[in-house]
Amino acid sequence: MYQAEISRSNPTAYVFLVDQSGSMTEAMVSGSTKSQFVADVINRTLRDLVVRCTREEGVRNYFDVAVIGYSGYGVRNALGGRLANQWMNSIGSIADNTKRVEDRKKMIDDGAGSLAPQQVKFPIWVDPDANGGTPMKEAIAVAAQIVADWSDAHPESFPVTVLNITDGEASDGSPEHNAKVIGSLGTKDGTSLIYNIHVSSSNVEPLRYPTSETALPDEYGRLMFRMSSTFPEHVREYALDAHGIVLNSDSRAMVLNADAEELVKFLDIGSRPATMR
Amino acid sequence: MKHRWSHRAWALLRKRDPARLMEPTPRGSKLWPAPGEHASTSVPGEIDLARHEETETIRLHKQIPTSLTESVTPVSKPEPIELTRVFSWTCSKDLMDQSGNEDASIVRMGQGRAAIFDGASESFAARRWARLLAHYWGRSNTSDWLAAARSDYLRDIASLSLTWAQEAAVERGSYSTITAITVTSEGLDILAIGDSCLLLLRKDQIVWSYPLDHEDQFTSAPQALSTRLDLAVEDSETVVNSHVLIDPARVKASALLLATDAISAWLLASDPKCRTSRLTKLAGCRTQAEFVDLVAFERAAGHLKVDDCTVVGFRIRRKQ
Repeated sequence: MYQAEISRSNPTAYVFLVDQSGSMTEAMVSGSTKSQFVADVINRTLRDLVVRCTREEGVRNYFDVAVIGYSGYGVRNALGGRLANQWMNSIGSIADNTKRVEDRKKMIDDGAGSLAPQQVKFPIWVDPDANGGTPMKEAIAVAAQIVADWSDAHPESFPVTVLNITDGEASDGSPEHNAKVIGSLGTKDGTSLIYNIHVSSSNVEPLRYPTSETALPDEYGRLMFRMSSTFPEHVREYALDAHGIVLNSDSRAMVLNADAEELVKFLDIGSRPATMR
Repeated sequence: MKHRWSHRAWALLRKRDPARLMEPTPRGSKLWPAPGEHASTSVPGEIDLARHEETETIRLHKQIPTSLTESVTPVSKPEPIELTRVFSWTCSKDLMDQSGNEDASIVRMGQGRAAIFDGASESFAARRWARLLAHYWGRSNTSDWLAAARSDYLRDIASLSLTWAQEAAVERGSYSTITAITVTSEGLDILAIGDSCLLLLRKDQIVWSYPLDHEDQFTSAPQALSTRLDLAVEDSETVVNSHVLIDPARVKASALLLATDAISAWLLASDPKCRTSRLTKLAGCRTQAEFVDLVAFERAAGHLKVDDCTVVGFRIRRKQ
């Protein structure tokens, strides 16, 4: 299980679920709002996926990607332009259909022990948005339908990974059943994976990748635990190599009270593909 | 390079069903004669190479001790040996698209040099990088071949009109393994960075391999040479520190292979019988088309990783 190599004939898929409810306007410890920071991290993750597929001759379609926003406006495609015509888009289409490309500065090692600003191109696909309630149950139902359709069309592929970013409880009922449906769908290579991260504006120590439901402080945490998959081996190895995070075979793909840094790590780990060829 | 696909390869592409394919039949090899097979050479027991185009030889004259591996460490002054290239096969990960092959090889028998390169598929311009490395390694035995290849690569890339994604991918760099052999007055020098392997053979047995010797050792992220300037010093130090010196005659090797990782891992199977059987199949290939058939069959059977496959075979003889 989870051994399928990713190729253009057998791509894999990522579905990002983004909470865009009204509470996402709250500021994080870093200063920016939760909605702004989540949008930045999603854009950065999409950029990384595109770059990973980019070769001299163009972008190889190793991935299909959907980004779904859920808020008081309902469950909507968070991507714009031509990408809004269907839920799932190839990574080549993602690369070709940015909303805009901004010039941003990042700090890099100047080779003399100091950090220096370097201008980088930062593509934008998702803008921050925040409004109303949190229809997470419906969003996960939409994701389940997308996962089912995609898995039927790609029976030999590495299964879909669903990454859900939220800052609170669902306002439309328990999403647990729908999450379990996603976990029951899959390809010949394994069942689909669902990862959940709860972002917080309070300065509370994050609770990362628990191995037992009883270790969680409240029913919300226990619900997240039951809704979250365990990690494939290659992801556990990557988490250790890249971030020094020790995950065992029982660790659930969830974080509670995540700060900005934790969200960046979570998406980096969660969007790590198996071997590409 | 144009390649004419055989019926069996096409059948595989259409059906992807190994049961529908005929397994290539093991037979006598260019590397060694099959039992009962008499090669028509002027020397009894040796193989007729008249049909093969490569006649130049690599000569090994004298050896010095190293601390590498006792079994192949040069210990005394042996008779010189000759290496003769017997075959050179390559096959893309996508049988339909040879232009996507990111492996490269170079043989300069007159200079006593040969090498294989495996461009990392996940990097930006792996094919270009592997080919530049092959070109410059083949041209020069001095330490500046790597810098020259990197310089050419960066100049070529700078001349391209790149998208934002390509600019970012260029920053990540391109990567390639190398396994190279050079005959020196001190022995057979091996430079190995990454998971492409040299295998020493005695008839149909693998008697020594380097740098890996078991299928379990092949990982998804081998060491590799990079196009990135910030890794230039590190790469140069790696090259300097990655040379070893051996005497193939110490293990009575009669042939050697240079092979990129998929073929190496396939040959270095856990089961010794499997090793012998696979080596026999490989050595029985007489043409590029037969090699492609073998690769297609072994991939379909789930024995061989779907990856670019390159193997160059040499026969070893003591110089009379």
